Amino acid sequence: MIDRFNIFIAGVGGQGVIFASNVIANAAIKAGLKARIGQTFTAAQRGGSVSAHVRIGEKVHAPLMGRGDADVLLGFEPIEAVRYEEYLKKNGIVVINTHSILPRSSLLGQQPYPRLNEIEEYLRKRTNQIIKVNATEIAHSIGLPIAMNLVMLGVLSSIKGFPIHHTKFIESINELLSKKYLDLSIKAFNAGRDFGIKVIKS
Amino acid sequence: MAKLLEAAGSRVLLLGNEAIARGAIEADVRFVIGYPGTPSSEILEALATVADKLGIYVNWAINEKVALETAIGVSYAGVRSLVTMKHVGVNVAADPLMTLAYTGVEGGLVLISAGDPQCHTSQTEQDDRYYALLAKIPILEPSDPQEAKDLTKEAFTISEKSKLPVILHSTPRLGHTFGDVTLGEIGKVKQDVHFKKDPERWVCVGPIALRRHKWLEGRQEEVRKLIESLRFNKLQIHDNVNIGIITVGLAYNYVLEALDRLKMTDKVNILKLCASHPVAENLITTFLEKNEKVLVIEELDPIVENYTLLLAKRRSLDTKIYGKYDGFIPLVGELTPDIVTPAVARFLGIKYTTTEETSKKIELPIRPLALCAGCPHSATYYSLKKVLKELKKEYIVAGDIGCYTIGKFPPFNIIDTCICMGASIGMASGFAMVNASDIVIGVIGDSTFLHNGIPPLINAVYNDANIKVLILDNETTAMTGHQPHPGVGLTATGRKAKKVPIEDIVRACGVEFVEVVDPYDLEKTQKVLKDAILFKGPAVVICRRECALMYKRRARELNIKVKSYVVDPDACRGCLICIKELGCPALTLDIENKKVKIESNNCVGCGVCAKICPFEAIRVKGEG
Repeated sequence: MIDRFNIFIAGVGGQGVIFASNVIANAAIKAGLKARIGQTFTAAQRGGSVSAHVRIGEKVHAPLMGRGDADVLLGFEPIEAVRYEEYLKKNGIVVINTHSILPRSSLLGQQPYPRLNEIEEYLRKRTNQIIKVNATEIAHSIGLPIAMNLVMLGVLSSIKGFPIHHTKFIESINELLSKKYLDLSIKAFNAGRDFGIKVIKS
Repeated sequence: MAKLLEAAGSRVLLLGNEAIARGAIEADVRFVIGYPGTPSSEILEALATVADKLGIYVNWAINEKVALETAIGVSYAGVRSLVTMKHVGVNVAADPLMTLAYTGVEGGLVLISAGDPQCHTSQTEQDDRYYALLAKIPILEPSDPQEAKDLTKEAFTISEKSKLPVILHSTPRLGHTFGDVTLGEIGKVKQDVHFKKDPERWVCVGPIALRRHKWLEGRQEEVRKLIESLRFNKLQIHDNVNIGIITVGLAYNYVLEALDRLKMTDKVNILKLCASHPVAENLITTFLEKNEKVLVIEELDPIVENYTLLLAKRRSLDTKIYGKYDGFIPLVGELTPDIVTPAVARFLGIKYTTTEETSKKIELPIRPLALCAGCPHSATYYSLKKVLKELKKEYIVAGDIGCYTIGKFPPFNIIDTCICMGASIGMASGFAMVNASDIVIGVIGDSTFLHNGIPPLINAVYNDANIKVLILDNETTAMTGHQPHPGVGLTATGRKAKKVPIEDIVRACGVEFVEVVDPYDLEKTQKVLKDAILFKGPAVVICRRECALMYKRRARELNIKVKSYVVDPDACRGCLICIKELGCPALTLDIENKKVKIESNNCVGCGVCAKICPFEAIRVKGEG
């Protein structure tokens, strides 16, 4: 039994942050663990920053974690990972989808979008454990672009010591998704997982 | 929604709002009504999915007041009902609620009031718990999804025992939190439909009202005992410990984790309450007697804290009581671990610092809310701005509550006000009546118009206010997750209902200029808007086009091929007018050549960007 394992997911409305958090928590329950997700629905469809606090373990009570509590920070979009960086534990793990979504102000050149190496350099002040993956591209290559979130969960499941077995993720996805997209979704999850295993080994 | 009907004893992952729905099912609720409002909407939506199977009547009402009044009829007739709304919805329903407390109920009546500390999706974070104090009725505050289910069930019992309506208080951190919930039996409660005539009770006027008030006051002590006896109040006293924390509802979880973080779990007593009205007097007194100092932790206003201070005075106890007045717990915003842990540490005299940002953050571009790709409101706002620019006059645009409030943000920056549901039309009238020279416009959505926009429109006609009302009709209640309404002609369970066309209502209100346009048709929309503005007297333009998200969902379900547009890079000159003036999220930039690109996944094929491109560089994919 684990006391507390916290996963912070940060992304942009429409990227499937909420769904991803549900998949994790549902998998946790299937693994016999206690789970909580605190999330803000406000901008879920409307292009704003979206975040979810996914919390697993016996000593989890509250829907929100505190700053410095996250064992893993999943950044579905690079600058969104930076936006919530203070939630990450010192030397916690960051998984970043390197595909950026430029806000309108950046498209018009009013607010510059930081370069990826700047972002990485900044995150290194808190941790050296940074996994970069172009999850959007992987999802595209599979033929289901919206499954970027599942690619990210695949990477998450490959992290050493992660408390939920990857088969529970598959069970969870099976339960939460309609048949129509199931095969490709599981393919996306596995592609993320393979990527993670490869990167973590090297 | 198979999870909602799983067998007793199963442990399932439920959203707080689904847990409330299951609690109502376990209480054998027969009638469910409400008005959509974040964070309450999923309760009724969840119940709608099982309504037919369980024989429950579930539907949306036109507004919260009507919802509650309908439920009152159901309750008087002896049947259990659940009414759902957000906290500001209770403002709308407050009128019947106050009188209902005097007459009392027959069938259990539970009102869900979903508050919004932190104003995540609301115009205020008013502490809606005051409604229970104002009406002198019980309010229950679950601390997690499990209690949300259990207390909802309990609320029906309390309502029938006390003969009072009961409020169940939720927040986004309850209703929108997923947690594991162990299910109970799906109940069967005998409910005979029978309204027993009793004018001396039900006709609440004058001397009868005064008698009923006396009755209500007489109920208070019994109700308090009932609340005090609930197992959801928890008194945790450790040997030789004389400091303690009193908390209510969800805040309890932050307290538990704060004590764990500070390694003080066995060194602090806790009194966890499940109701802030009526307050468990005896438990608090016992707790004050056992502790030399006490910290009260609750969200927003000091309701339990005030009562605790009052009790200490009345019982002559000299326990030191801390909370809001000493700045331990803020009055503004929701509680978080980063607020509660330092407050508890300070109370205990422990040094504790929370994690801060690593260093000065790299500057990040902000991501304001934006209307979705293909949103018809974007097209309407584009046309409105164009016409207003042409007319070269000052203008005021009074906004309302819905997706279209996003018109406050770039690229439109067009909404000047936001007060409450329906306020656009009333406020526009006020502006117009004192300021004849400016163009005064009210912008309101379809659901919002039906909710509370009709009386102010009649009032505008009656006062001959020269206002122009744009009803942005996307044929759904979009902001809260696409709930149907009478203008759509569907019920919450997907049944066909008699459709009430908005244009018929507008004409019946006495408005002489009434036009319906398709906002994707920019040319016609602009012509009609101009005519409306030049018309003398109240004018209404209904801009009607299905919500783009709904269209996309429908297309996916029915396998309709969605058109999508592409940019011809040779024709695009990179003027960025489409991004600057329309701001559709499907429009992005090819960083290399500075030309516009369309994200085909996002595009819904509305074609508005193609119409406004000065160089005809945007075309249907696969054509020309």
